[in-house]
Amino acid sequence: MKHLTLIIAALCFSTLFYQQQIGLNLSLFSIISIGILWWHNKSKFKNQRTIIYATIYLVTAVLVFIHGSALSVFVNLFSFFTLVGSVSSNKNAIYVQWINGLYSVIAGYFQRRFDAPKTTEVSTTKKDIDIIHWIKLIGIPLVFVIIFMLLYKNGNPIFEDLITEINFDFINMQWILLTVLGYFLFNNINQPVTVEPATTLDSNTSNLLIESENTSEEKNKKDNQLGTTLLAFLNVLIIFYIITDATYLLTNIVDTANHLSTQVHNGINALIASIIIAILTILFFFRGDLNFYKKNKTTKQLSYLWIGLNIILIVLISIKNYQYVSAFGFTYKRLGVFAYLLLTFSGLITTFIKVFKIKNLWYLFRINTQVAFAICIMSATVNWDYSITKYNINNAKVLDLNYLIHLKGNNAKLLQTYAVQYKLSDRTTTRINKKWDKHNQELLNRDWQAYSLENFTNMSKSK
Amino acid sequence: MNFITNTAKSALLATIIFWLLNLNQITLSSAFFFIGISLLPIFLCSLITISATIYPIFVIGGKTKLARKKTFKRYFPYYAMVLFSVSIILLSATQFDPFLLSFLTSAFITTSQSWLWFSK
Repeated sequence: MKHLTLIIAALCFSTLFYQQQIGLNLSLFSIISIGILWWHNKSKFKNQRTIIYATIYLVTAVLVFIHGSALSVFVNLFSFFTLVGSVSSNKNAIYVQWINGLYSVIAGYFQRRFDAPKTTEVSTTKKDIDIIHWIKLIGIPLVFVIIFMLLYKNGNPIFEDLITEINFDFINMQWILLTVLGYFLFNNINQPVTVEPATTLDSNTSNLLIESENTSEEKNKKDNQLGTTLLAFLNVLIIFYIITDATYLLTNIVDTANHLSTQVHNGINALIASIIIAILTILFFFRGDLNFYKKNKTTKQLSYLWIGLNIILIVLISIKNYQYVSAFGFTYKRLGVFAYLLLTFSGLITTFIKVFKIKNLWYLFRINTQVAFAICIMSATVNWDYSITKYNINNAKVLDLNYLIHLKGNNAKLLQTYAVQYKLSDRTTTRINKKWDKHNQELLNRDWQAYSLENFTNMSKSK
Repeated sequence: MNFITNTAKSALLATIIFWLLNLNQITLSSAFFFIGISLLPIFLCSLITISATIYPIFVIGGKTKLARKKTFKRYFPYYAMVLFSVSIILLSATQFDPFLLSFLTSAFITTSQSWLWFSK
């Protein structure tokens, strides 16, 4: 029964993906994968966390069908690894689940063969011998028949003609191999495996910091003094920077794209250095026993202040980026700046929690990878090409049409409407029309496996 | 299993997988010639790969059965993931070149099986 379900799934796999682009097939593959995982691991699917990951995977599968963007495919792939990893061991950090998921997908079969207990080996010995016997029974005569066929064909022209006419072109080897690959994949994931000792180590590591037994009062005192002095100076410096930056922002009117771009990117570089050093410095001081030192109040307060000031720095950069966007519209790079700011903000908040609640470094890794994953999933819910085009057309003071024309085809309809409405130059209108035609042609040429939502909405509109 | 036996078996396995993936490239009459002639380079590739990337790990890990099992459990997952990632990068860079795809597929399966043979 197990092999039958895997064979059916493998046949579906090759039907979905053979010589096809990504589209509906990836969404259906996700559903089949969830089905296979559930069928072979029903008890694991009673766990709330696994159910949540399965739901997330299903949602990303729908997103692949709706947008078909690279981001949605990427998120779908990561959700797949997360779900498989969660089925293998659901009490681990998300990055351990990614590792377990990836390992199960690519080499689960080999690990299971290694893990197979001796009793199983003994019970299956008879079966193994039978398989070897069958291989011999088919393989050896086949090799000999071929050798003698090749020898005989030189001795008789009629026999040679008959042999030459043997043609295996009707066998689609690539399709068969894709089916084998599908079988290998489903066989790997039907019983996910774990990477050891990483999984056990992660399971046994808590988020809380523990005071060491041989703590030295003298060392803690010196660390505390160093921390207070350093953080005080850094706070003064960042306050000075923020005041000058805010003054510059309020008193200067910037009107060129280059000016704004330089401002934002210089700010980002400063922010990257500042935040990384801030987090590393705080982690260095609060790596051990200083957390439990009774007179660490000032150092802690200075750390909180520094985190707060870094957050103000994020706000200032966000304002600059917003100014940039409201003047010249969105681009992927400008969106990337906002994403980076969001991640940095989360990094600072979690560093604050780490110091406040005396957590360890693992806590930071665990929580921040989860946050990054959540942000990626949320980002994948938006059709960015379409949204960027719509926002820029309606809001940007200076519209970069070249950039919009170079985006993916699903903004073509918006651009065409814009071209008609604002009577653009013939050259630009031709480029937009070409983009629209090319996109429609591409939609028409798709097989059902590569369909996306646009095949139903856009095509019906164009008719 | 000793090094030479493992390499010979790996080379044979790699040859079978590689030519299975390239079955459409050859005719029945030329099959033996091509498969035979490819055995030597495939054996050399297997020899270099196993002696450079797998065998030293088992030598360092220890030769007892328990040590070999421990070595497999500890290092094989990372080996497989690194090899897979490198293969995907190479394939993306060459836009999934069919020759490279068959070469890397046979290399991945063969090296993974070789790890198993060494551990047992």
